[in-house]
Amino acid sequence: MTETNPSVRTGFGPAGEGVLAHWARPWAELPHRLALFAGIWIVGALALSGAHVLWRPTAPPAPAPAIQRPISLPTISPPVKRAGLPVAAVGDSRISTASILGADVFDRSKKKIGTLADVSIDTTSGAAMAVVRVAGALDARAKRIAVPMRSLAFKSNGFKQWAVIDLGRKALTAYPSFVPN
Amino acid sequence: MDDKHEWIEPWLTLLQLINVFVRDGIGALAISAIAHLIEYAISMVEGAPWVWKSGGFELSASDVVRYGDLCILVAFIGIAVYNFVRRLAKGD
Repeated sequence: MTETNPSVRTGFGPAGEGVLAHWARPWAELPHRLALFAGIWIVGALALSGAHVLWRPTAPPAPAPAIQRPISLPTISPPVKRAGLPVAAVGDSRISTASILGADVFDRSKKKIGTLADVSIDTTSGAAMAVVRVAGALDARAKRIAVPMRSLAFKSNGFKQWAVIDLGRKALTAYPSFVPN
Repeated sequence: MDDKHEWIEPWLTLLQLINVFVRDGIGALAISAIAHLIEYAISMVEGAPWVWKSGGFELSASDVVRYGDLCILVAFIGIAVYNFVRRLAKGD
């Protein structure tokens, strides 16, 4: 039997035949490689998934978020209306937090001590607190004081109300509001 | 191959190495693609992300596919390095 000359078969000559053989040989094994990689994939995925199940248990469910207190501005003590002065209270539909910011705040001797800087909610008691920016305070800590909102009154935007705060004590105390003479 | 074509031998070896590398890469990518297609089909039926929960653990389909891909990548790199080192040891 006569063997076919490769150069005759392909026309590339001996060197070309070698190149073609080197090129074609690995691809003949492609199905085996596919089977090998599929086996590696399946076995590896099963093994690592098993390890995942064993070593990474589900984290306990996150605790439910704490129930937030409804934030609302409580009304201050019922305002006293005298001598035709317009009186409004915090919580009154006619007054808002924004409208009382900057209101003058007075001490018991009716001397102006500062202005209302902010209104916040005490997280422990839920009470509204008024932050008063004290004018001319030397102690930096006393420049902003917090007093319970319910005992504050303000003079602002035409509403004649007065806050009475005893600054003579170390512990700040707020007194019921009143309308000065 | 006759003597006058001996110069081509190292180049043929390099060609074969590259060829094997490409072949294995295509094979690995094909298997990975099949796995991702299966994951996609599962998510279409079960809803994504599909998670297997039981007792005190949970395992998602994407976790399994990721682990399989990791194994196949390691195998591919290992085989490529092995082929290269073997050729070097042979002195080709």
